[in-house]
Amino acid sequence: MSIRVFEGFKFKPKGTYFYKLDPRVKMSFLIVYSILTLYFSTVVPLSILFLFSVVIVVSNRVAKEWGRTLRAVALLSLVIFSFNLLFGAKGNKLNYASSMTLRFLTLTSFFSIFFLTTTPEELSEALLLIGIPYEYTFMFMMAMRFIPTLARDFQTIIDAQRSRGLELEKGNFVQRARKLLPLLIPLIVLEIRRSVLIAEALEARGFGTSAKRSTLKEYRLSKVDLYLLFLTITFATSLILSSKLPPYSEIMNYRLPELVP
Amino acid sequence: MRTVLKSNYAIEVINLSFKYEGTEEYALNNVNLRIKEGEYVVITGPSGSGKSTLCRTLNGLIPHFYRGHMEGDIRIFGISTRAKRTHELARLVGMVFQESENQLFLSSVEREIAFGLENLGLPRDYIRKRVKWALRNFKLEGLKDKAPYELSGGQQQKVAIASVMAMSPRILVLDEPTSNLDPLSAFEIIALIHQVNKAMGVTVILVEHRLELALKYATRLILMKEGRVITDGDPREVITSKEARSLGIGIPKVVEVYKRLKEEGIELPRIPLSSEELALGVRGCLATYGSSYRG
Repeated sequence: MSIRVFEGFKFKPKGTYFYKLDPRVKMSFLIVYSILTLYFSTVVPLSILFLFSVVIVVSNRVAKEWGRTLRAVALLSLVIFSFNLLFGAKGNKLNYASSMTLRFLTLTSFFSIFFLTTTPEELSEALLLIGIPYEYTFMFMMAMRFIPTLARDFQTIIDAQRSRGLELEKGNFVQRARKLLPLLIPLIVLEIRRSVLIAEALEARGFGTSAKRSTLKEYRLSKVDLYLLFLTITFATSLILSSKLPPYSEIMNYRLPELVP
Repeated sequence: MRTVLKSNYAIEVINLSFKYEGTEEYALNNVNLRIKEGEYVVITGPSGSGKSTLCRTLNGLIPHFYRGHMEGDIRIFGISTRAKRTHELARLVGMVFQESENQLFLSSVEREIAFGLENLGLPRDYIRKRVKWALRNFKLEGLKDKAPYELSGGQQQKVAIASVMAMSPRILVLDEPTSNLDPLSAFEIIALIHQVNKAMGVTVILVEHRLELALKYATRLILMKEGRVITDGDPREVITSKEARSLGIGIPKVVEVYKRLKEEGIELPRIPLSSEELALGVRGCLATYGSSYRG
């Protein structure tokens, strides 16, 4: 697991239909499907949800970035699977472990779709539209913006300390943990100084003016937005209903056989 | 929306001294300056001479953002910076900083340019118009949807200048905008600043070490040392002064050539500040000396 995990959570402009959606719609899409993923605990509906997310990924041409993240979390899902299989709840362990792993992957997938197609500004503007104060949404946006900068600064410090003889790979766990100190202290100092420079640049661009902020982008629900909203709700309800009512409820609630009978 | 302007001078710095909180020494020591609208002022001097501090007093970052002890007064078009906060001065004084990374916050060039105007709460139609203007004037149309932090250093600085200029300030202060750039990008940025000064009539205060680039367009050169202004005047006179030599600033090669020629007894009619001016001067000299050499 390295920085590549985040590849699928970083905005990638592709201009396909999902990008054109209103951020509020995308957010409700994310929330509805996250809840659905947590609601179901059997293999069939979770697989349907997962496949559904794959369809969206492929049709929005973000399969490459999405794939990187999924591959990066593959190891983690293996851990989840084996852990649940060995120490999981009493009863059908194989079924439980598979569902939990599938649930994890599906959640990752939906979050990846959201962050791949939504800029930090859109997200913060969506939060603003639902009533969260600008200071908080802005803070969130800045945090997202400076992640790559922070990662680069950290790498520079690692390189600098290595070239002065700091051996990061040597020693046992405690010794290695102690070697983080000469990395973290310069990083913190550097970022505090950077934050002052960012703050003065913000100030110079009129940030904090008491007047009510205006926005360049205007958000209005378009036909496509309403269409997707409708589709989301229809799909979600039909999934829930089919798991409750015959004739599909049997398939939807199908459990994998026990490993050891 | 414009403030009524009360002064003939764009900038008046009167007996200004400043000491950062927790330090003993004055970063600025009794500085006096008067700058008219439309001037192109280059400020240079060794590190720690107070250039950056002076820049930060011009848009009110000092004394409002940085704490310390300030004496004297700064007036921007007659308005004291003590009374106005930085964001209130933003429509009069725009500021571009050294590191472009720390002044670009958003995920597209278009949004970046709109950011300052949004903060001021201006109407959407007006913002749209200004963004369009900035994209066209700074030739950024093709990069409109690109993320600023994924651009090259030169383009980043261009975006930074465009997003400050979108707020239509009357004064543009630039604190070493080219120090992280390669020579070609630096050249382009300096040319762009010249365009801002010439075509838009904006007063420019440029802190710069690369004098061979910056002096070409300057109307005035200020040398600073240890928080004081030591020389201030016409770039041609200042750059050939004793003070300039003793300060160890990068005197442009063309000026050195001029001095050597003068030692050899050949005096060009004008101190050149660019290679074009040098070539012109030499050509003129050849025309007059030419006949006597042949004879």
